Amino acid sequence: MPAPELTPAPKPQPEGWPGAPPLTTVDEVGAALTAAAYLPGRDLATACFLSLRLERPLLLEGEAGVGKTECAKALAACLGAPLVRLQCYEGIDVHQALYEWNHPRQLLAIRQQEAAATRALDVFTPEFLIRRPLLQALDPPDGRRCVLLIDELDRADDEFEAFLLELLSDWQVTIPELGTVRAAQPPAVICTSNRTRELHDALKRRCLFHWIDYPNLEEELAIVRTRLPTVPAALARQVVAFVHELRSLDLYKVPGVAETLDWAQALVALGEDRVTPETAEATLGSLLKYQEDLVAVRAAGSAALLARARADA
Amino acid sequence: MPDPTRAAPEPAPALVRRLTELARALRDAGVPVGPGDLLLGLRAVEAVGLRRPDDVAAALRASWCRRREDQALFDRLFRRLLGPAAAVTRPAPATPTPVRRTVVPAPLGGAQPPPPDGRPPRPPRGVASVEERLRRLDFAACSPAELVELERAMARLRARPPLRPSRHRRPARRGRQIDWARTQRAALRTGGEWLRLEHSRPRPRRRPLLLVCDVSGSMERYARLLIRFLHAVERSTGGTEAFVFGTRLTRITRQLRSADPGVALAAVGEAVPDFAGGTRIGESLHRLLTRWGGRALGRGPITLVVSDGWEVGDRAQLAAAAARLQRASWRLLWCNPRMGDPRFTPAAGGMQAVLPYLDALRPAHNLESLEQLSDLLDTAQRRRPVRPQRPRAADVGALGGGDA
Repeated sequence: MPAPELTPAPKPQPEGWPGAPPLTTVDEVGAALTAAAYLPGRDLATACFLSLRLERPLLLEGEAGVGKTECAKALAACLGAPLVRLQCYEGIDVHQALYEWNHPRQLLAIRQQEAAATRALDVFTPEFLIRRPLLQALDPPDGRRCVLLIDELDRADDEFEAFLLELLSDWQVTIPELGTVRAAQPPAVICTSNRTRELHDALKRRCLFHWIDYPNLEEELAIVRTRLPTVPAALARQVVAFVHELRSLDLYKVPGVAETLDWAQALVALGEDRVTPETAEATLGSLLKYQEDLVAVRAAGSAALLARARADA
Repeated sequence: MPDPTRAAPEPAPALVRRLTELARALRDAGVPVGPGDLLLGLRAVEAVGLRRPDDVAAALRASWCRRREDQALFDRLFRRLLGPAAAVTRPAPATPTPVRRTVVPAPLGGAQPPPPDGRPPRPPRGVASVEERLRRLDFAACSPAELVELERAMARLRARPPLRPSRHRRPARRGRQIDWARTQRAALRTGGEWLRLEHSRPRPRRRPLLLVCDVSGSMERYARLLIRFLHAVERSTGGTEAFVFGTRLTRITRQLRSADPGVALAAVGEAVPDFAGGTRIGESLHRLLTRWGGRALGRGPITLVVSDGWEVGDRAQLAAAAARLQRASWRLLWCNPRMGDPRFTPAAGGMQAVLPYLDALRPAHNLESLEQLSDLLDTAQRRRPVRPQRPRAADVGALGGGDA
């Protein structure tokens, strides 16, 4: 069967990333991400730069809330490209990730055609295709090259990983009824994983890898100041120092950067300009999500933690 | 995909040589860096330039290290082979000696089975076959020859993986959901008329297993055979997470993956620093929950803890950890080798602390009990276990014989 083009006429696409500043060095990528309110470490900027330059997917791992997903959003922002997001979950398959035929519509078209008694109708054409995120990323409807975020890949099953292999290395997928769809220009791909299971080596080999660690005190302070400019400097410093104290405790789930930001926002919403033991107790729920952890922190004493935090800051 | 061989100017031979050395050193240390990776690394280094060493390191790390655990090793080797100390004029540094796994007898459990000396095992007595007698024999009372027999029997032990429903769907004639794609295709065969609706059903998938075994001093006589048991379960179900603990927790999932039980046991022996030492059950379980919680407890595993519950640490911590472990597990099973003793009561302090949080307490002192245990694992147990909201003393007694 001759494979009809999905898009009627392949539009000539400009090379690279139109609308993006030149990103030819690590410094430029770092600066662009910073301008998008995301502060990458030098290592992460290097990894992003390489991912763009070598057109390789970037696999980001790290504890929850260190900014893996945000990194993809920031990258899309600084490239001026649309972000296509595929949230993985258990049981995700081709129909939810790539494409599905619009069966009700096909049926209606067949009935219509019967009533009109015109010539035979092909219902396996692009107009009956529902494009899911992966297909959108490979063959964007408006022709704009995009950033593809495959989020929490560890939640999907290993079969789905195997399916991604062709896509991530050759930038093409096959739809049996239509033929092979190839990306004119590959999207920038960010995969994230929380490591609830080990991803398969074959997939990892196709990606560049970066582990995002918790930022140190100064870095995290800079993140809070960038993300939440309304938070007073003194409060931000106190918040970050307190969170760093919490990270040194033996908790089931230590707070990530996302929780730090949540907490700072919560304190601002309460109209606080500094952290007191009472406000800390009252708002701990923004930072800690396990009852056992709340008990542990209360036992350690917010006042003592605050005092230690003040000494560090 | 961009052609990796397309890299425009030929990279400097010196650079190629040194990256090759680094790649080889990583390979020797167990990090798989293939020729394709080498090319990728070269292109990455060319892309970032040689101006800043930390950029070069980051580029190579992103290209070659696909596991966080490898990163420290990479940094060390990078400093050694490409760091400021490693001058270009220096003769090629010697690659580190490859890590080789040697099969040494592991310090697992007291009596080591002697090499088979050709003598047949004790002849059967009475009506019970050797097999039958062995099955009932307490591990602690075995002669070395019987241990060899038992290990052989253990290798034949099979556990079917427990199943759980999943969000995957499989075709079915009947079911709650209509499979539109198949219905449509079936309609094509009947002239476009939808004569039959095709359905789909959830496909059952393997439920994860989490195995945790006590290898402290009080378990010494059982530890070797119990780890054989863990190995047999891992071999027959796959996809298990396994840990052992004495005073500290060690993950042995990777060690158990080896097909040969001897190799696996030796690897475990090498990996575990605290065989036959003290016991800190509470602390070890707490560590399991905090350090490995996401990985090992992510998808509602059946958790099997093998321990005699002789806790020297904090009992309150043990109880808290057991409570949490139960909530994170589909089933929390506890096996106690001491239950082979008819006088057994769960009196050891640790057992008392965890009893309210167990879904079942089973013996694990002979082959028969282990066989029953592997049967227990695969009785699919589809329904959620009914657990008391707040355990009362009265519930505790009923748990021993609980659901099977």
